[in-house]
Amino acid sequence: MTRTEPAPDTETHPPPPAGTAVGTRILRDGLLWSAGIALLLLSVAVAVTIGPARISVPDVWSVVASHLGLGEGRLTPIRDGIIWNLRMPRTLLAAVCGAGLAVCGTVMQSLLRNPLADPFVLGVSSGASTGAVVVVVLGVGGGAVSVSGGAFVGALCSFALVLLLSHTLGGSTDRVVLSGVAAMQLFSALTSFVVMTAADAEQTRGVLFWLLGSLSGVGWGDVWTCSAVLAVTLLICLAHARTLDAFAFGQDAAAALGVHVARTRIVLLCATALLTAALVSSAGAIGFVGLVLPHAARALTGSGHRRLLPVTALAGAVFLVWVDTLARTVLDPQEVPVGVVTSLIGVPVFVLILHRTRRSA
Amino acid sequence: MTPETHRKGTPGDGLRATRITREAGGRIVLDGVSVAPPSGATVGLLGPNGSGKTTLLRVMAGVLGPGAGVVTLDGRTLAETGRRAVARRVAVVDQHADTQIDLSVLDVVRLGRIPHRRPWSASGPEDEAAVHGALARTGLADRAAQSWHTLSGGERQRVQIARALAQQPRELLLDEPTNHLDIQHQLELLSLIAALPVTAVVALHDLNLAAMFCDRVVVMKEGRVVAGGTPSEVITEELVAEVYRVRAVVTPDGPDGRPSVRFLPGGAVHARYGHDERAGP
Amino acid sequence: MPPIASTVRRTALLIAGLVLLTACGGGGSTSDGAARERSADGFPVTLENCGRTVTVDAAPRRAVSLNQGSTEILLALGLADRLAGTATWTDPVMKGLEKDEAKVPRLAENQPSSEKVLAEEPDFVSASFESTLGKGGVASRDQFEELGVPTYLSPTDCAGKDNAGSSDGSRTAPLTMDGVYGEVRDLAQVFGVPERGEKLIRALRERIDRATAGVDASDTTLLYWFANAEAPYLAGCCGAPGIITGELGAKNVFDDTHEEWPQINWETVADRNPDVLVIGDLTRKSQTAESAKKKIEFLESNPATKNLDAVRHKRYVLLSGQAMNPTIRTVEGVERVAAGLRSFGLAE
Repeated sequence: MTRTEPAPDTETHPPPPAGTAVGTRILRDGLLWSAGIALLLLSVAVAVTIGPARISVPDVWSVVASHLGLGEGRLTPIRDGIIWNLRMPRTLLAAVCGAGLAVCGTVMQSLLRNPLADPFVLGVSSGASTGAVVVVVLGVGGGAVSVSGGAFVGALCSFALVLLLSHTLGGSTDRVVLSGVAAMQLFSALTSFVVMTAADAEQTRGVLFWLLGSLSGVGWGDVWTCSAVLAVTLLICLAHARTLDAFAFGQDAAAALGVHVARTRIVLLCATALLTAALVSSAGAIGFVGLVLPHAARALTGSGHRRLLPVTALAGAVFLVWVDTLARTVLDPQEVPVGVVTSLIGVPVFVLILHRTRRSA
Repeated sequence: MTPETHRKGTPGDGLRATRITREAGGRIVLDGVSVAPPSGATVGLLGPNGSGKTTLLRVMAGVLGPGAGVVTLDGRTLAETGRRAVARRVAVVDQHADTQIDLSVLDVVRLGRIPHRRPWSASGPEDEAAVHGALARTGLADRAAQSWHTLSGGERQRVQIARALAQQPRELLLDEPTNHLDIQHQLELLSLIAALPVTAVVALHDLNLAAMFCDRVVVMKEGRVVAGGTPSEVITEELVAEVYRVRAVVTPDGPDGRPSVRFLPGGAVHARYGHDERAGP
Repeated sequence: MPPIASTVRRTALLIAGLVLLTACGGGGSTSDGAARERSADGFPVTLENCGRTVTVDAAPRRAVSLNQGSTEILLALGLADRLAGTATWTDPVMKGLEKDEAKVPRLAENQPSSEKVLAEEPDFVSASFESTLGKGGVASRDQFEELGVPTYLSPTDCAGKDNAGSSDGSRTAPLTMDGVYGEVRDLAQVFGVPERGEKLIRALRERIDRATAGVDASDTTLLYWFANAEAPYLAGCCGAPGIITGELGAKNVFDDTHEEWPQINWETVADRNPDVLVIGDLTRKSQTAESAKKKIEFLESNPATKNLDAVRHKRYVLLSGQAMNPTIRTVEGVERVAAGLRSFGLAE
C-alpha cells in the first residue's frame, strides 16, 4: 500500500520546554488572581464609604475595624448602623450576587450552547416573582413566611416544572431551553394575574420595585446564606470545568470525550438553579449581569472554564459592587433599583463586546 | 467475503461491534451489523447515504446505545469500560463540528486531552506534548493561535483530527473526513490516517480513495453489511451496481494493483438481483 | 416577627433616652412647659402597633415621618419642631399647616432611601403604609429596630386589613374614623402630648357632626374614583371612602367589593348607575386622569359614561387624594361630600 508522504512544507515544532512554561504560567496566574482579588477588596472598601449619609472615610473604616474587633467604635449607634448594618451587607451581597449571577450565566451559556442564555432562562426568576407576590399580596403563609422565603419556594417550583417538562420531552438541551421558556411565561402570567386582581397600588409598587432587582434592605443573614450557596456552587462548577469545555462542540462531542452528559447536565442545572433561586430571593431579579459578564470575561481570558469561571465571578462581583453604588447615589434621595441600572449599563457594554468580538471573527 | 461472524471477545481485540440492531422512528437503521476492524488497520466504511454508516460509527463510539447487540473494547462492553476509559482509547471525528464560542485552534486541540485529565488537575507536560504532537502531525503548528471561525471547512476538519490525535487513541472513528477538502488535502489526510499506528474506521464516499488507502473495506446498504474484505475483493462492478445503482468500470489500475473505479454516465441501474432473489455478494 | 429584644437595642434606647433628657432644654411652643412636666413620668411609652410592641423611652425630638398622612397628623398636633424630616408627598399640604410644614425639611418628594432617613439620626419613624416599611419600601421595621429606632405604622393599614393573613389583602372589617383617632392618640402619647391628641380628635368629631347634621342620604349611592381612566381604581366598601359613606349614611355603589381599590371597568359602573361621583383631584402625574379636570373630561366624552345620570346632571364632588386615604383629611372628605349632597338636593 502506497503511503503518500506528508507535504514537504509541514514543519515540526518541538513542544516548548515543559517545566518553565508551566512555572511561568503558575506565576502569572497567581499574580492575576491576586490583582483581581485586590481589586474586589478595594472596590468593596471604597463602595462602603460612599452614600447619602455624610460619613468621613476614616470614620467608615473605624466602624468596620471596631466590628472586626480592632479598636473602639466612636460613632453614634445609628451612624455605626448605617455603615455596618446597611452599607456593609449590601455591598458584600452585591459582590456575591454579581459573582453568582455571572457564574450561572457562564454555565448556562456553555451548557446550553447559547450565547444569549442567562441564569433566568430556566424560569427561576419568574417563579421567584410569583412566590414573592403570593406572599406579599395574597398573604399566603401568614406572617411566618418572609418574602424571600416565598420567592425561594416559587423559584424551586418553577425549576421543578422545567425539569419535569424537559424530561418528558426528551431531556436534550433544546428541550430544556424550551421548557424554561414555557415556565417563564407561565409564572410571569401568574405574577401579573395576582398583581392585577389582588394588589392595591402601594403593594404593587413595593413588590415591583423589589422584582426589578434591589439590594436595599438586605441584611447579614442574606449575605451568609448567599455566600454559602455561592461557595458550594462555585466548587461544583469548577469541578466540572473540564466537562464544560467539552460541551463546546455539542453534547455528542462531549460524550465522545468521555463526559457523562445527562448526569453533568442535571448536576449543573440544579446547582445553578439553586444559586439563582437564593440570589433572586434575596435581591430580586437583577438582569443583564448573567448575560453580559460571561462575554466580557471570555474576551479577557478565553474560553477555558478553569480560568473563565473564577474570572467571571470576580468580574461580576466588582461590576455589581460599582453598579449598586451608582444605583443608590445617582438619584439621591431616591434609590434606583439596581436591576434597572444593570440593564441600562448592560446594553451598551454588550454592544461593545459584540462589536469587538466580531472584528476578530 | 462473508462478514465477520460473532466470536466471544478476548482481550486485545480492540473495538468490535457485534450484531448491532437499531431502530429509529419505526425504521430499521442498523440490522445485525457486525464489524471487527483488525488492529492497526485502516478500514473503509462505504455505502450510499442512509445506509447507516454514521449511526454505526456513533454506536461504536458509545455515543449512541447499541440497541440490540453489543460493542466491546478489548472484550469488555463499553458500559463496563467506562466513558472516560473509552474516550482515552477511541477518538471520533464527526462530519460537521461547529461551535459558537470563540476558540483558537490550540483550544480545540486541547479538548482532546479532556479524557486524560482529572477534574482538578492543571494541564501537565504530557498533555502539552500530545497537543503539540498532534498539531505538528496535521501541519497546524503555525496556526495554533488562529480563531476557529476564520478557518475553512477543510482546515476545520484537520483541526478536529488534530484534536482526535491529541486524545492519543488506539482506535479512530472518522465520519466522512474528506467531505470539505480539496483533493490535495484529501490525499494528505487519508495518507496520514493510514500511516498512523491506530485502528481507523473511516466512512467514505469516494470509492477510489477507499481503494487507495484502506486495508479493508466494509460496504453497507440499508442498514446491513453487504460486503467486507480487501478493496480488490469487494470493489467490483457488480457491487457498484448493486449498492450504488450506477454503472462503472473497475480495473486494477490503482496503486499497488488496487481497484480503480471509473463511473459511466447513463442513469441509474436497477439492481441486477432483485430483492427477492438476492444471492449475496 | 417578634421584636428583637437585644441588649444592644435596650442600651441604645437608654443612651438615646438619657441624651434626650439632658438635652431637654429646647424652646418650642408655649404648651411645651406643661408637656415637659408630664413627659418624665409618662415614659417609657409602650404600644401595641400592628402586631408589634413598640417602646419609646422618651418623647422623640428628631422624628421622621415617611408618608404624608402621618406627617399631617404630627403637624396638626403642633409637633413641627420635633420633626427632623418628612417624605412621600402626594398632595399639597393640608390647609392651615403650611407654615409648620415649611419648618421641616423634606427628605424626598417620593420614597427616600434608608440611608437618607438614617442620616438624620432619627429617634422615631412613622409611616402610613405597611409597604413603606416593608420589602421594596424604605427599610423594614426590624432594620430600624436593630438600630434603636422605634417605628410606628398607621393602624389603618394593618388593623382589620389582612396584609399578612390568609385573605387577599383586602379589608375584613370596615374602617371607621376610630382607626384614625387611634392613630392620633397613639402618636400624641408617644410624643408626650396626649391632651393635644384629645383636642384634635374633639375638633375632628365636631367637624363631622356639623357636616352630617340633618343629612339623610340613605337612598343615595356614591362612587369614588381615585385615578386611571382605562381601568379605573374605584373604591370598595371598606377603606377610607367607606368612612365617608358610613358617616353620611349613604351607600357605596361597590359595597359588595372588599378590595380596597379594585380596578373595575366602566360598563359595570354604567350598570350600577351611581347617584354621585366623588372624584380624586390628584397632583401627581404617574397615571392617566389624575386631575379632576381630566377625569371630568373623560367622563363626559366616553360613550360608556356620558349617559350616566350623575354625569348628565354633573353631580361631581372633588376630593384631594389625601382625603381618600384613611387620614385626618378624610374629615375633609366627609365635609365636601355632605356639602355636595346638599347642593344636589340629595340630603333631605
